[in-house]
Amino acid sequence: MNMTRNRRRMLAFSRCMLVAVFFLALAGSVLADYSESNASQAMIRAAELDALAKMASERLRSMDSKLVMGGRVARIPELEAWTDPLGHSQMEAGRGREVTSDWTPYVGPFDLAEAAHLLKRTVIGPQFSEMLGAETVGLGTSVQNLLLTELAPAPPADWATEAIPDVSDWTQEMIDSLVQEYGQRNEMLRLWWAEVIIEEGGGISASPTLRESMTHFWHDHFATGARDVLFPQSMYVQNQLLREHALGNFKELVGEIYKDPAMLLWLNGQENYVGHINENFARELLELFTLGLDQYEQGDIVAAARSFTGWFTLDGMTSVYYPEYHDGGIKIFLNHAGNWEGDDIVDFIFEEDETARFICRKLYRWFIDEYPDEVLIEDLAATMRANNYEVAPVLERMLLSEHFFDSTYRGSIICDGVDKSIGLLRSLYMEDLNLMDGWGDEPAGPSIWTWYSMFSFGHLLLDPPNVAGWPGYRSWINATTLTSRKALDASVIDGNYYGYDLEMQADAIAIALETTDPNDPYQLVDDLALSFFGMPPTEAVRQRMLDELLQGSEPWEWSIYNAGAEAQVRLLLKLIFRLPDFQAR
Amino acid sequence: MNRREFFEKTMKLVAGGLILPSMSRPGQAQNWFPAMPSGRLRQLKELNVLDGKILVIVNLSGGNDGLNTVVPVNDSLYYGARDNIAIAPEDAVLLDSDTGLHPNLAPLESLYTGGRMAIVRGVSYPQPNLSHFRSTDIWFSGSSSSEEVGTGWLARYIEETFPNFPDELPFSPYGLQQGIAHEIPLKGDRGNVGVVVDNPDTFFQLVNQNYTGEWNDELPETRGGEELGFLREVDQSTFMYADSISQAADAGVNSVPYPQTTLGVQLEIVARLISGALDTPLYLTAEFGFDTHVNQLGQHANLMSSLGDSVAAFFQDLDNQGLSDRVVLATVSEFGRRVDENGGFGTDHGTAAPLFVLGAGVNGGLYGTNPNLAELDGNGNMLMQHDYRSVYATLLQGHFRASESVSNQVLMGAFDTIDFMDIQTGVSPPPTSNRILRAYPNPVSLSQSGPVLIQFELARTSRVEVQVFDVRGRKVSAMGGRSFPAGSHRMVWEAKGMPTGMYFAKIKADSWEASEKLLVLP
Repeated sequence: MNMTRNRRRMLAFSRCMLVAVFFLALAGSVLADYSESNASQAMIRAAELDALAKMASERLRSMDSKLVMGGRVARIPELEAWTDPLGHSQMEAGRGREVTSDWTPYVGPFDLAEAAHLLKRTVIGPQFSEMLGAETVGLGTSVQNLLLTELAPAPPADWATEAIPDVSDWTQEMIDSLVQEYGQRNEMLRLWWAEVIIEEGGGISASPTLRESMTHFWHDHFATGARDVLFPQSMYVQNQLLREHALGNFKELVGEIYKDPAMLLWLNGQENYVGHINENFARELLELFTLGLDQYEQGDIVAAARSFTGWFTLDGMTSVYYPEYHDGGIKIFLNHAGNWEGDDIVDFIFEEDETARFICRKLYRWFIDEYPDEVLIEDLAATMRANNYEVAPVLERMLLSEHFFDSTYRGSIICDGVDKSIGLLRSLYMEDLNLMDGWGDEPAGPSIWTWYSMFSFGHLLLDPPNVAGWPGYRSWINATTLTSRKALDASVIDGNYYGYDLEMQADAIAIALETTDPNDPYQLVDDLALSFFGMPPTEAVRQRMLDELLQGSEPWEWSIYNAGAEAQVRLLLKLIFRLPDFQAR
Repeated sequence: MNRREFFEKTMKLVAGGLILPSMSRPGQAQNWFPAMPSGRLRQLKELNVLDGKILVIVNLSGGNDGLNTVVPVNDSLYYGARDNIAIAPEDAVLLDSDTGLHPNLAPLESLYTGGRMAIVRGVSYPQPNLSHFRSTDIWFSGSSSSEEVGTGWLARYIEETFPNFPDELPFSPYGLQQGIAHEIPLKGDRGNVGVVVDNPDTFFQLVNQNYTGEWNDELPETRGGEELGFLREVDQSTFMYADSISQAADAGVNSVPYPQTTLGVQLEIVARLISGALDTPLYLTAEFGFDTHVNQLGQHANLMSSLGDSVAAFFQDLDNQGLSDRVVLATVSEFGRRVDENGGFGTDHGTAAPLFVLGAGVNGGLYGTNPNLAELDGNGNMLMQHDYRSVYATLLQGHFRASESVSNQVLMGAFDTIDFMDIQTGVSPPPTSNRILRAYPNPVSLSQSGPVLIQFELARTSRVEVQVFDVRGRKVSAMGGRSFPAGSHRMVWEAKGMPTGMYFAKIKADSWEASEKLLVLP
């Protein structure tokens, strides 16, 4: 028996226990009854590792032979076009609609309405002044500006890059208190991200870029929850990884994500090693991150899971590869047989035509509409493959197209919760909110409002409902979330939420003064509608807005410098936030 | 309330799974049946949607481990496959010599021995899908794994039963969903048949203060117009239903404490709304975290506690209030888990698993057999014994008394029913004579009871008037005369705000007349 190798194995395992101990500690606080037995069980396991590894290799061999001998079942054929005798699900909104535009470059007028549409689809909470700016520089320059690469934001604090301490000789109280501290830091990380979103465009590019919208896209795509990852360091590292690749290369990002510490913790990569195959990450990689359902079989999941073995995070911020923990057997993945590593699996996935289609559908749904047209997707996927999975050329083609500016899509995307929380603050020019620093024993109003609104709208960043991300679209809206959105958004205009002082208040006059002609009540209503609605209001809604602004006075009496003007603009803004029109962009 | 209090409260609500803050309610009346102004009668309300029958779905989200829920205590293959995470025979709550419940489901034992709980084993569907998301959609939509259906089976049943929906909307929503909202269950072909409400206490005030009125002007025929139409529809139905939900929440009570788990809090609210006579037949609740890939013992034990304690409290509460004769609760989960434990002391995605059906009309007992662990599918998963749509068909035909053809229509195919409910489809023969079945609770406690349900039967279609008089013969409540069909009916009398003392409920049906004494206590 090779002693060195075994010792190395034990060493590696004991390091993994650093991370494991945390989860046991966490389990200790949550699952009081079971923590003791769990902890001691895990210790026993560590000692038994060698025996288990032996057993595992035997099992592995038999698994290999089973796979090889059994041969692979033919791939599931394409489903025949399904006709439902009862007509169920054929009535879905947007399905079967005839698409009359494509990716041909858009050459029509680029007025304020088009500029507003472009920014509402690409920036979280665009400001009216930015829409005016985009109109001025024109479509081409606006899209180039959106695609600019910005400098990475400064980390939230030293704790974001602080090593995880070795807690093996800590008391349970000490561990509990650190776990609690980590929980608070995860909250602060959310608020840090909120600040980064609000400050989008304040960097060297001097106008907003796609960076935060795309970082958010990838977070929604590789949806990872701080509640299970636990370490704020890991969540921060992943967030920066997504930001770094926001407008980068999809394949490279997938190549990074399988060994990303937060992902290793979130989808049990950490528990996936030779003889201890855990399918969780492999399944979601294929189903949710790259190929989509029906493109692979259970055997491919197992093969991929085995190929990803060997990766661990010991400090929560970096990952390391231990060859002894890698399953060195033959795996058959999508008809490729060999002793594959994680990178091989990524290569094979990106050899499949479906991968580009899958991600292009998602990008389409993020920027244009919930229901993509498959002909348009095939075309977009070709662009993505031709550019070796670079994302920017695909986005550029989309944003410059006739299809993007097809008027049928004005207001066809229901705003997500972040739009109506962080985005609202940004669109109202709210600055210096110190959201992260305001979180503490006595949290400040803006921090509470931001956290609580994200939570109430079902869209707390870093807390997706599950690994599929937020289902989005109409599912954002129900009796409870719609009501919360109205009440919380309107409260920012008053600076007060049912008697609770928010310690921040939108400046109604300043908002009005940014519009094109605040002394013309019709123009003010139209500009604010353009700013906050996805499509132009109906005449009845527009009239109601005007009535709310004028409060019984005549249109010719209106001036933004009138004594009561501020109160009247506030009433108008609150009405806007309470209208159904406000919930789509 | 200072900031710290607000924050703490927020955090508590988070922990309790509630969404809206429990804020002060300035200017709000003590209850939604204001003291009767002189010369005006308090209206009696009818409870009649789906004959007052209620179905509560509990979704065990993430894929509940069936083998550790209903344990095959004599199966050596089970113990062989699960060295570390099996439930030992001596820990299980034995139901028969071969079968035991997870120890933390002990609170359900008396419901089982009382014949009120059915355990249907081996529930799945052909070609099971191991994706959480796809399989959840399949279970909620009631479809096969080869078709994508975007509507919920219960929503389709509502649309089938109420052909005028949504041109005619009910006073109360047909369905009420709690927890993380899933889009499919209450979505029908013609619209959403229900609403998502987490906190009925603050709901009404928030809805009303932020409502901008009804918008009926025409929208453009664009994708944007379609979405705005949807937004207006939710806005409108929220406003409509807020009133009835708040009334019921205010009128209803809970008679027992509930565990403050995600599910416990939800079932507590459901029981209160049922107690408050909300005329809503469908409730969707959920517990989360069943995706036990690693270290499953402790996590699963906590979830079993939540399930056992919450469901036991729920039925105790309904029993205490005399409400359990109308209510059935059924658990669902997108799949069970793999027979073999994995390397992380957990289990991976599986297929067939047992589910529970409890309540009114349920023939308690075990259905199907313990899984045959010697015969698994190619992925090491258990084979199906019952199609999940057979469970649905039984609920539709047994509980809601849907006809077989309606059941087939809703489930897009014919599925055998299972004996856990008796099937008496079609219209039951009308009662032979008119009578008051009961008025309950009676005596009614102003502080501890929900509204009084006055239940009566009619032998033929009659013009009915229901009135309540105080002891001095003054009419205090009434329901104006109108035609009622033959069969069983329920009227709701809200005693809150009434002086204590003796009252009489009088029912007139054509020339027939009967009355019932009602005692109102503090």
